[in-house]
Amino acid sequence: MNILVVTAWAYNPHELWPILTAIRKEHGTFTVLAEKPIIEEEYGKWRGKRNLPRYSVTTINDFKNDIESYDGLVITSGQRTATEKLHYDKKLLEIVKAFDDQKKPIAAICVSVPVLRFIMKGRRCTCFPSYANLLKENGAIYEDRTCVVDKNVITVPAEIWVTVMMDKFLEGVKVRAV
Amino acid sequence: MAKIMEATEEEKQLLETAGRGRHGTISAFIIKAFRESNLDTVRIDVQGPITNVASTLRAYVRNHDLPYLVVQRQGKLFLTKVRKESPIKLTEEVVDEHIGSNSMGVQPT
Repeated sequence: MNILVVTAWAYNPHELWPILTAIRKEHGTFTVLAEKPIIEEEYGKWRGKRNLPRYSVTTINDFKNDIESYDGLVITSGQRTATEKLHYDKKLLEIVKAFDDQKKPIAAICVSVPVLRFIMKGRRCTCFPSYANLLKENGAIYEDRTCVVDKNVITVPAEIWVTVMMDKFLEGVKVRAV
Repeated sequence: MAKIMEATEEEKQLLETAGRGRHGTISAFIIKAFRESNLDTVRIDVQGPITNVASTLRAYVRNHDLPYLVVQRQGKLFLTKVRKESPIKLTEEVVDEHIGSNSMGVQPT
């Protein structure tokens, strides 16, 4: 099991760590992509805690597009403006479309869900409520629920449902592998 | 309502000599000198109380997110570089350590 994880550079630790932990508990491997090569906890950045560890990851621009070697895609959010930049990252939008074309499981959470807006036409999803209109404008069917699964796409509106999302996502990855 | 009037030659000259934008009067020059000095730590000699300069410098460093630290010791003011630890590569081993420790990496059950 090899999973591609995309995060905002100012990441939300309550989303990223449970996702990576869930993958490791299934003995999976992962690659983390972000807009910048160094990611920091959003709380550390914005609350002045500068001693928190910083992590180096692959940037989205440096990603080699070897989508065949990945079994699924998880997109996680973080500080709001940092995540909104992902919404308009052309390469990331292409990566999302490539995963969807190959019917591989895709999971997104909270503010990061609008990254999927171009593949969600006529499909059901949920997200952080203030971004519902952005999804509706692109033809998605927004549902105010804790977890929405439509075909290969799993979406949840907030960090507290991250474990539910990962359970369904990893189940989808396993089923597909069989 | 406001009226728009053509500026005189003298006024145009004034604009050129006055420079563009506000650069501040204290912090920017100290930080620039520190950066150009290539030193790790410097003592800043100030005429008058150092607390005013210290607070101004601290605010400047914080607002510009600079890796510097402003320190007052024994009535002297120092400016030093913060040694930021180099980033750790986010690999499976790093996550496994989180699973082992009682940290945020542990999934709620």
